[in-house]
Amino acid sequence: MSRDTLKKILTGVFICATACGVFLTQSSLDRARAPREAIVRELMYFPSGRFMSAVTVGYDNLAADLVWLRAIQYYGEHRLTDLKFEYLGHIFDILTTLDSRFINAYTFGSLLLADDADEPDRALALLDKGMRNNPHDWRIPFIKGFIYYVFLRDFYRAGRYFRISSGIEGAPDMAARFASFAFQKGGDRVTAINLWSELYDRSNNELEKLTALRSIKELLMEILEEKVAEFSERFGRSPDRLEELVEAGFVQRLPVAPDGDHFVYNAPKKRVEPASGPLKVED
Amino acid sequence: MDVVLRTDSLTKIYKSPIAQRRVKAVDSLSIEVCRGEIFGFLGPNGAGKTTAIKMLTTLLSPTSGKASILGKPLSDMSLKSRIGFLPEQPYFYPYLSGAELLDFCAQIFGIPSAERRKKIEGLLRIVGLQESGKRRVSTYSKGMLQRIGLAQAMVNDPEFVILDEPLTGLDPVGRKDIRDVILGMKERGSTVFFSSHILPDVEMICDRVGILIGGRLISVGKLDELLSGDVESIEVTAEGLPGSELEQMEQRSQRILVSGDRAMIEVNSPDRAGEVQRAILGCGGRIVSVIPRKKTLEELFIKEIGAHREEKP
Amino acid sequence: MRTAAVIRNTFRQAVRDRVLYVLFFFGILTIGSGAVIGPLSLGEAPKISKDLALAAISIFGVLTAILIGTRLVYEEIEKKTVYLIVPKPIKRWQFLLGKYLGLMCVLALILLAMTVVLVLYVYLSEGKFQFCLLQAVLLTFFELAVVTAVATFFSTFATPVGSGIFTFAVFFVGHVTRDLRALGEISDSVAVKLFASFAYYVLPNLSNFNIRGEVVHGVSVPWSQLVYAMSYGLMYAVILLVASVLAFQRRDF
Repeated sequence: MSRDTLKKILTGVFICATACGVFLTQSSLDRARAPREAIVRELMYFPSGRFMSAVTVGYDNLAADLVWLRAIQYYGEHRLTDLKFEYLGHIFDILTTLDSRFINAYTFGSLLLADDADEPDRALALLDKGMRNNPHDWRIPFIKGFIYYVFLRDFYRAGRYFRISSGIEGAPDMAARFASFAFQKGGDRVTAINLWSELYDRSNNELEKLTALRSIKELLMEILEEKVAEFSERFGRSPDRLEELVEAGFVQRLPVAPDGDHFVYNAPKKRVEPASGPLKVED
Repeated sequence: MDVVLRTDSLTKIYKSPIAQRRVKAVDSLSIEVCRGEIFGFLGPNGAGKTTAIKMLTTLLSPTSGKASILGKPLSDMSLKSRIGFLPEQPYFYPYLSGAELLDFCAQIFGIPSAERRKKIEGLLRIVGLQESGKRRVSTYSKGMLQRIGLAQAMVNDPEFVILDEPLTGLDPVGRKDIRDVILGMKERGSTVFFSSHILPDVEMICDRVGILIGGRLISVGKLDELLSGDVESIEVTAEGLPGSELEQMEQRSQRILVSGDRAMIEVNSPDRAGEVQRAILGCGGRIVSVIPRKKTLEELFIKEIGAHREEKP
Repeated sequence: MRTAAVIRNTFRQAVRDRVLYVLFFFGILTIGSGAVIGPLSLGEAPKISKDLALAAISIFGVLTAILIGTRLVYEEIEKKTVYLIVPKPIKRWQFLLGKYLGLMCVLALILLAMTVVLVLYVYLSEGKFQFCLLQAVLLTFFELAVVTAVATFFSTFATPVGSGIFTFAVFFVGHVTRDLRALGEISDSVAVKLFASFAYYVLPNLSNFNIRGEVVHGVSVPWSQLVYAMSYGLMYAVILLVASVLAFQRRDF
């Protein structure tokens, strides 16, 4: 073959070889940096919120939205893997520094912190920040009361915050009602179910709704199990069907969950279950 | 004598901050241009012609000296309504069409919209661009750019027109057209001041010329006067001369060029010319032509440049 | 009026500039992308869409102002089209003002078009018409008036690349001047205090024009605040334009 053709072939081979080299080197680099990268990715977007404000040059709200999306992603990832939400509080702190009027960030964030992350103190701190920045919003003190009632079982404080919420313009009547329930009864599961139902009805947030639904079902099942125990004590046997509880007068009627799901008695396992199947962790 | 342009020791000095040198681009220029004449402003490249013109059109501010056009100071707004200017190597907004460009210029002159359309049509016809008026200026050839440039210089029917190198870069047909337009301006009563280094064109249309070399005005005056006087040589062209006669004539002439049957005999005085002619007729030859050669502008020009170079240290 | 001729000409030039269409296209694209993000946002789609749209209007407006504004005067000088203008009966300040206002007309048009898209989108997705969105865009327009004035000023003496960098730097610092001032207050260093004060009072305080946060959360902004912000923008732009005219006036071409 001619010299020209030879030159062209050699050039082509050279380019291919170099390209492969680039690719292989990059792969090695990726492998070497992998463990540290995992940590970095976790912390992406997550330096101090105050510092971030300087970087976002007036587009704070948009940055907050990005952090919100990232927060959802973070929560989802850890919910499916290790159930550890180390940075959740930090993320929501940044989020609410970038956009201090983002009410849902305070309420939803505190819910996740109290429930999944099991950090009720952090949840309360987040809500305090929310109240400082948004003194005229009734929802934040309401959720604070909610958390005191449902997670911390501190009914006095719950009542206090429900009352604060009811005093703010625009608060619905139920705020005042829950205040009085909290002060009076305290520890009442029905009140808790009603609180969760309020949340379920008002929320546009699917995750919030799912959390509320799950809690409502758990509480309803607890009540039903108590009634089943009472039945067993009276009649010396477990009921075959939950309808027997109604017939025997232990409950007026069988409860139905907000999503239409009702409950059945699983006799072999001796427990109450939702008709749609046992509650899964992912719910 | 109605003086349209008068400058008095107009000077422009550039200070180069880096080289710490001062360059006198224009040195004490004092000229007068009279109404109705075509004045040619000559000089080699870098002589300062464009700098002088920029001062006249307020693109530059003079370092010292004064100037007035139509009796008014250069920055006077009403004056600017009465003059037209074509810059060297004109560049226009490429996204505009020729007609839009003229319309824009007309708007700046404050010409009302009713008049504008007719005027633009007329101008495009005068410069020979009536077919191309709607095309974008970015598609124009160099010749067309010069023409549209000339058109915009005439939008306001100016009394005084300043043209910087209007004929440069054009083909012979283009140059003729532009020369005709300039002559047309003179016919309509405008005064024209243009700079050039294409001497034949200047010789053809100018009434007076000024020569600028190294920023200084070397000579100025009527073309005839500058080139008058000395007849450099006379060329006698003859046919049918026997060879012997030619040899004799060679002694009396400066040079002889022979081409076939024709001979061109160059002599350096009218007397000698007479002798030659008699000799031709005497030996039975035929006189084709007798042409006196005056000093050309080119020769004057080169002589002055040479003199200037000797002067400089 | 002669300035009007320059305004029209500048407008025409900008509108025939392809850069404009690319930017505008991406602006509309960004506004539309809110619809895509929606499902992932757990109910915050309306908020995110509005944040995105308002930010897009602002960002693309600023980019247009910088990309076209920094070439505005420079190109006239570089390409020598000033040779057509200066010898004619138009004052140099009229020319400069005409260029500036021409670009502002273009920006107004872009902003209007993007706002119409936004308002339509909100109406179609939420069924209501939010007037406060228009207030946010109005202030963005005045922010652009300031940024364009900065770009024009630099354009009178710097190359487009240099002007672009300076203008962007001013834009950046202009948004953090409040934080800088706070920094100056808590710092002990005199230098820091001086710099912070300088930045706050001399450089344009662009956070004055940002009511996006309030608008998206339905917090109403009193008209007095809007009027103050608009006056601030107007006065700041005027100062810059005067400076530009002074720089332009004495220039030799």
